[in-house]
Amino acid sequence: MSTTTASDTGPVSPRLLFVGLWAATALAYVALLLVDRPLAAAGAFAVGAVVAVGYGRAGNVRFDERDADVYRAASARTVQALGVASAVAFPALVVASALGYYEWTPFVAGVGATVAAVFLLWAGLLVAARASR
Amino acid sequence: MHTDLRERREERGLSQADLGEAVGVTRQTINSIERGRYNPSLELAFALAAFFDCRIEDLFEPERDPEE
Repeated sequence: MSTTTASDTGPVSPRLLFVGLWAATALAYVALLLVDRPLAAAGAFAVGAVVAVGYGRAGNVRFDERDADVYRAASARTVQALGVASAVAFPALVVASALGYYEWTPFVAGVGATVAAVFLLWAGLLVAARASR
Repeated sequence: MHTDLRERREERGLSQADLGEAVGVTRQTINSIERGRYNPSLELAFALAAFFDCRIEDLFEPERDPEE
């Protein structure tokens, strides 16, 4: 991963500020959605994202190979946790439904479809990654 | 991975940030390498060896199995 020169900004490091900008953007987005201001939420997210990306690309923030390694580990564990949870939960719901103990709701069906789509995407990207190595 | 990176860095009077800047990584990465919590990539290992004008094998050696 390429790195850029970091410059300290006093007690707040550039990395912390970068993460903080994204966190603030996400918080503003969610908060505005919760008060039923969807257009403002989208606008706030767009502005926040531009500011955060701009700050990162201005050469102030350094993320190096160890950060990439940490992100890869967290991503792998996320997929693993999602996989284990869905491998247990959804077959259990299928059985429960077949036995008449559970009735699928649109929400749960949507979650199931989303999980399936995530794993289809993961499988496709895995094939692509293998092919490139 | 065992390393004497800290000793070599201190011999030259460098901070972790100085060394990180010199080889293009963060201070936290240098700290993690020195504490044995992170193994550098081959690229970074070569960069560190070049900085200290030594071989990679002089800087890093595998942890010995305690049962050996």
